[in-house]
Amino acid sequence: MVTPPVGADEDAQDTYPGTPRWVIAFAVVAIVAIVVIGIVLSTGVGGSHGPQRHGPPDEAGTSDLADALAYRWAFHVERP
Amino acid sequence: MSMRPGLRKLALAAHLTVSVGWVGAAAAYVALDVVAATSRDEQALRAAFIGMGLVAGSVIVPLAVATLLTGIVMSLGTRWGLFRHWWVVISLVLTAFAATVLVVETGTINAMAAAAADPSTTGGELRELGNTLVHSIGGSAVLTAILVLNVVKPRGLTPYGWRMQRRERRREPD
Repeated sequence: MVTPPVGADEDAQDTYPGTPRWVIAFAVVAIVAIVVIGIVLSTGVGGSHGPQRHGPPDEAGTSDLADALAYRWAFHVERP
Repeated sequence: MSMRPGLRKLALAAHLTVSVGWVGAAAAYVALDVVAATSRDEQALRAAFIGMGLVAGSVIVPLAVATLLTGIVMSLGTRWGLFRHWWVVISLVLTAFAATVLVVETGTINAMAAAAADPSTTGGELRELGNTLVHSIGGSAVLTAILVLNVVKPRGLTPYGWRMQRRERRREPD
């Protein structure tokens, strides 16, 4: 990050030279990864996931076991 | 706005220290995560979950925040800028994304650590806690990609960077 940017040939043109191919390739890989992760999560293959699993346990007890155990530990709820 | 050479080197040293430290701490976390995912031994599981909580909360999160802040300082304080070059923009977006997911995930990790620290939690319950391997391995892959981008610095100006560079060249005397 210390050396000044070069880009002299890009500056010599009158119009923007366009988005570099490596950026487009990077974006394609990122989109494919996001789609794959979305499919994995929506089909349930990835198990319980998403921000909702970080909340406190609800009355139906649908949150993660870790959250439930931590809740019991934090509030000293005795084991039934 | 460019930093003076001494200040720039100091900022660069700080940025390298915390960013490479983040990668190393993430690797240590993955090792604990693998134990959490594979071990059947109660003591090993308990130690792994507690260790994951400590490493994530006390080391990884502070390093992630420091990496984001020092990276922004380095970008704004040098001619690279924050939005002039694609590699800087992509690094910033990936770092912010990784740090955000990490902070959210820390809630689950702390819950696991708290459960493991509770003596009344049984071995069976510990084995059912699960793991965070998807996040830790995925996060390590993202950090490696950022590191490679920062080392290679592939060429390519953003439209904003291209306009700024042309404007600066016009101002320069022949």
